[in-house]
Amino acid sequence: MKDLIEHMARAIVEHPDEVVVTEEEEEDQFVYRLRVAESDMGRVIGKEGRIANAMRALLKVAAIRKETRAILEIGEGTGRPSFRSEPRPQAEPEPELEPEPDLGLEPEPEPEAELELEPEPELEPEAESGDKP
Amino acid sequence: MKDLIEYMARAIVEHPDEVVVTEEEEEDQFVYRLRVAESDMGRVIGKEGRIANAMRSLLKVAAIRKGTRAILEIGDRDSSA
Repeated sequence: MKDLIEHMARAIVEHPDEVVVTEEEEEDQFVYRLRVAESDMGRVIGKEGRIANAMRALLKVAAIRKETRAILEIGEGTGRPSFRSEPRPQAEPEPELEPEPDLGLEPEPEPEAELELEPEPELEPEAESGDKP
Repeated sequence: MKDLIEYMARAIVEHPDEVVVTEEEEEDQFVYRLRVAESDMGRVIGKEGRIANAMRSLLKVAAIRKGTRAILEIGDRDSSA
């Protein structure tokens, strides 16, 4: 299932090399954390969380096939502040989406982060591929 | 993109060895045809087409990234359409 998430994410981001998926087993389910480059956050979330939910829908079926359950959390960067060992001097708004431990299924970025994380790939407009009902 | 479809389909079916994806280039877009075992049709389509649409959503973004468009058709191994 980790493979599946990596595969899906790498197919849609601009920086496939920055895609990182971690897997943790908790009681009766697997928790996957997907990290992508900040500039790819909009792509993996999608308009109204559509892409995130698409990945979750597929993951769910894959998990059912394996008779388990799976949760997908999505965030940018490494998810751990290891790359930023010293605090930044400037107090700029923190656009980072820390995964919420209890509510991994919320597909939308936090409201206060929306200036940075408009979840809309810039390339979307003309893409009418006829799959509207 | 063919890889992506194969990967997604194989992850959710019971007969991954029967998953076949063909690719055709038409004018400005790619047309993919996904064939699975008849008994797996329900899995790749999903309730109210949710899984099929999930695959299409991802395919769409992958296609946009490559500056093209893509269509996904789904059928069982016997269908020729």
